Amino acid sequence: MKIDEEKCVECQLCMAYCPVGAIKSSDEDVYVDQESCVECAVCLKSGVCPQEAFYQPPLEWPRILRSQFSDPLVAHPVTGIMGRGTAEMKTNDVTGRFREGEVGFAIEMGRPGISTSLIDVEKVAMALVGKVDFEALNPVTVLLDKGTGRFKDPRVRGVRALSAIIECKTTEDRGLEVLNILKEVSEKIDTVFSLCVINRCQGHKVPFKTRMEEAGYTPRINGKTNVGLGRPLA
Amino acid sequence: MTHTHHRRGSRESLEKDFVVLAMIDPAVKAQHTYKEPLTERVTRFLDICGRHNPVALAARTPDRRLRYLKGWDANMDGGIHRAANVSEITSCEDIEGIGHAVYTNKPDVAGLLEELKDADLGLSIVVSGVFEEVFDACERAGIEPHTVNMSLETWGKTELLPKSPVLELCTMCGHAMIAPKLAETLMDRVKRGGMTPEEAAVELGKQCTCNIFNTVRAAEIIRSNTIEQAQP
Repeated sequence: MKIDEEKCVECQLCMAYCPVGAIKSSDEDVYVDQESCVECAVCLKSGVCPQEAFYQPPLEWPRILRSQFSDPLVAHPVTGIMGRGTAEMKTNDVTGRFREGEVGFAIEMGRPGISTSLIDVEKVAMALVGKVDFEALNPVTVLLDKGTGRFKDPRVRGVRALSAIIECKTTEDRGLEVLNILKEVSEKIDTVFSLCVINRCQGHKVPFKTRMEEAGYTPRINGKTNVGLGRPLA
Repeated sequence: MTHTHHRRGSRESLEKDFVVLAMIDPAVKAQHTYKEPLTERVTRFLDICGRHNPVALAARTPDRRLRYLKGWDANMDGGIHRAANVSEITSCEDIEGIGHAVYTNKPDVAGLLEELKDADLGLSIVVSGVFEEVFDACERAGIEPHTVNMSLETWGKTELLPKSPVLELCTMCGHAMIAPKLAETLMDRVKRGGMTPEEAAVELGKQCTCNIFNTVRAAEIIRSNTIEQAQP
């Protein structure tokens, strides 16, 4: 995103709207710091600028990834849907993506609102290689070399995004091992990640929740429940 | 797409916060053609949602987003954000296969689920909220939960996170479209008497393009951290 200097009157009203604080001011002007801007377009969409000074220049590879990962109104070319990941458990009642005895993880790098360098995404992906099955249709997975967890195109590492989700799954028996790996690698990154753990219900029981609690991992009281009304392939 | 997940706050506050999402899976073709055309089923979903007191309701058409947000007046519009009323959404004829609604109490959600179960729309329904409350609502509706997505909070450099109540406000938009600085700025304006908590809540909610922001809960959070805090 950029600001048209000819239109900007330096009122600075826009500065509070940027989720990552990329709109900055100097003695001369108000500008978008291109390194920290994640191309989420919140500034443009908010309509806060009375001069309509924001404009979106064409984005080339790999910078276009910033927009694909950050702006939920931009459909990712891999998933074909808007948002940063897949349908994950939201349609599990018709896809069976996560079956009994399996546990899914969504590691959302940079969330909530901190943003992430894709270098940190790579660090976490590399730590998980060989321990999980990565979700094939996920926008991060398609950028990775599956054997190493490194990005196939090293230029991707310079990308910054509001968040990027690593989606994967393993068996309940190996789930705690994955959590321990994530704990270790979380100390080596320069951002945060929010961690989702997906599990099939058995009545009102959640088998992997009990295992996590016994191992000292306590989930929050709130989360998402697929209530099983999707019908066709259930 | 975990945008309704990881909402922060006290149990008391979170018990007034439910997000209901309907979607179909792109790869499951049978779900696209179940019983009736998809558009009619999503319209019925939205109609049922509209009868149970939503504080937010959203749907998509091929070229626009229809957004009802409690307290949002169309005169407050700016940028791409446009307000709609509930009937405008439920009467729209070119709805696509996804919809959201936000509620503030369990009886409304239980009633909604019971109606959705009877309607048998063939749409996957996900409810975000306090698990005990959601499971109880399922039980009241005669539904068995299928799969859960639990939150193990935030790991890594957590010292970078904004403090409460900003975090509670900002995490009501899972795509992080609401800047912590905006939440701080608007709360400061409320403190100085420049706007009401409800107006501040709507300005925050407008940034959440998926329209899953709970303006009623947000206004309560803003009020308790500004006006009530300032009272002797």
